[in-house]
Amino acid sequence: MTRTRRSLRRGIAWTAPLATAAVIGVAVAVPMAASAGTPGLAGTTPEALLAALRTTDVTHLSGQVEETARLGLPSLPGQDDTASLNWQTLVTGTHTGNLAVDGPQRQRLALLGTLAESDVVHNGSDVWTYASSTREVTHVVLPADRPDGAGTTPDPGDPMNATPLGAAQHLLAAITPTTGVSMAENTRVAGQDAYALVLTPEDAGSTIGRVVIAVDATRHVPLRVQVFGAGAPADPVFETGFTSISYDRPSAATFDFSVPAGATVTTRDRSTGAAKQPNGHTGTPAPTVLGSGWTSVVEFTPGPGALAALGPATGAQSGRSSTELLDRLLTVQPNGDRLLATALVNVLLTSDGRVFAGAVQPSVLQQASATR
Amino acid sequence: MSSSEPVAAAAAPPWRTAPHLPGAFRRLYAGEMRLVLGRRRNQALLGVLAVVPLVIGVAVRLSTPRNGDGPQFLSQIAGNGLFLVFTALTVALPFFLPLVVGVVAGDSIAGEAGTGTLRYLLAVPVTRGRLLAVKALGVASCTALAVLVVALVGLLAGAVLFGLHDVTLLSGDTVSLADGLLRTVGVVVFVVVALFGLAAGGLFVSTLTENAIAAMATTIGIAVFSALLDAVPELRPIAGALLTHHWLGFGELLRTAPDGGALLRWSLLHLAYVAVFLSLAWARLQTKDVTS
Repeated sequence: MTRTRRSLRRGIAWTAPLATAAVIGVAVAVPMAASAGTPGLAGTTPEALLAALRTTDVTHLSGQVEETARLGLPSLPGQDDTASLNWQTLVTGTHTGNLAVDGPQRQRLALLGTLAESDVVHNGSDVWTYASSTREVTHVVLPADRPDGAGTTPDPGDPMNATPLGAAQHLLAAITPTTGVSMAENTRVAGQDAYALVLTPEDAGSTIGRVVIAVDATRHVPLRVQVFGAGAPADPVFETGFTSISYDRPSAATFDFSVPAGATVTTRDRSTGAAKQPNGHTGTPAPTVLGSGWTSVVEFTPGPGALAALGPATGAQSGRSSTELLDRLLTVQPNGDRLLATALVNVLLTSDGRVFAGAVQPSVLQQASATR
Repeated sequence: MSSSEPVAAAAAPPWRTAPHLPGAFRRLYAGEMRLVLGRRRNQALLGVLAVVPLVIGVAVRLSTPRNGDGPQFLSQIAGNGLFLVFTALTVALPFFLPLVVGVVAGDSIAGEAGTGTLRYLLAVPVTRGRLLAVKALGVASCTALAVLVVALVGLLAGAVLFGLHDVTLLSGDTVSLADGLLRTVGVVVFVVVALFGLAAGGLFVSTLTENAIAAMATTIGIAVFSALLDAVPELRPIAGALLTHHWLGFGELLRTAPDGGALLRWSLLHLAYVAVFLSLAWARLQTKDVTS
């Protein structure tokens, strides 16, 4: 009798942790289930959605963005610091950032790392960058007549490209008459009901199989951009989307930046006569865009220092330097050119020091380098 | 069940029916704290924690580090002593703090069982649930004390060696010292709550064995194992649910606009660990045969 009562009491006691775990499980699962599912939305045509996307009247928003690149590149040195603003960081792994936009003249992007952050603050004719880990500030002064940066060649290294807004802008610019435009199943991104617009390049020269843009159903803002490779269509090779979004106007203080004490400042004044240097590298010619649409190729000639960094490892640096890694990734072509192939972007380094890059098949790059 | 309750009450041992004297719980807690803080081992561990910010502060004073060197915030200490608090917490979080939590929590029940005092504790008019509550409160107090030692010694050493000034946040914006100190309080609270998860785990482990050393080692092992799992890229999808993953999340408080939702989510995760481990410890203690 006492034995059974005792074992019963033991059994009852152990239900407490089970109940606790169950309550926590439900508390986690219910919000997840609520945000899942496909919202029923009024029907629309891809053409109408495309037009709405291009003419959205949303000028200000803020939210958190998550970017993931699966280009097939190994982790490059320095990528552990997830808050770095370098392109080397953004082409591997997953990164989170806070984006605030108030019109074309004021944006702030903060890339978040553990105990680290990198910020790009654009306010009028000033563009500031700050990295908390190195406490380095760069200050770029834009031409006073073009404070929104309009008319300059897009900078491939601009971290804004990693946001849904920047990525969608580039991809919409690539649309050609042959591009297939269709709709996929409605979705929900960052708590907003969204249409899914599918762009199919239909161009053998492109490495992009299709692009899926989730468009906010009421405000027509691109909430998520997924780029699928031509070869492996299962997982997106590049994905960037809002995880939370607010359409309230960010406070004006968000876009104020004053140089913190103890920071080193590099100033690049592009306000006078230097409009042809959009990427800010002094003494470096601006990149040229060859062709148009999905198969457009960017040509640029890096400075001697940059080229050395891409050349064969000199052994000057110890450990896993980017030089050695890049050297392993580069394949030498029959004509002496070197090719860096990834799941999305291919880069051709010609023997005479020019660089051609694009989301295109290597043959397109070779053609471009031959005709120039 | 209800029909058998009078029988159970009649047959219940005196410690089940004894009235709870006012202040009894407080006295039990005070006794527990005297016991824990009186131990030379624990005093030595708190001393080690106090040394962490001192060593960092003196080292920075002797040779100013360049930007980007060493642990986070290190290069900022020379300009603002407040950052010594954050650097010391960052350095102490992976090992020193779990060590202290592990030793105190692992010892809490298993130590009593190992020295044969657990059954005497249960012989005084106190239920097993109340005993666990006192032990949990004691471990929680020691956890908070450990973090406070690091933070306060860091703050004092930082103030003396470098002075306290306006604070440059991770976002590059500068806020007043008062704002910075307020954020520091938030950082301490976040870290304490984060360590509660491990402390509760230690308390549960401590109910499983009579070998206090094994319980301490297992508790520290939980923290190390969780950090190891966190470092495996293939486990990235579940990393966010790991016990130690958000420990350094206090950095969120050092951004211009802290993400309150994220801080709340992470703290709730740590409290969920507390709830699970405490209920496990309770169930284990309820059903345990206390023989020593």
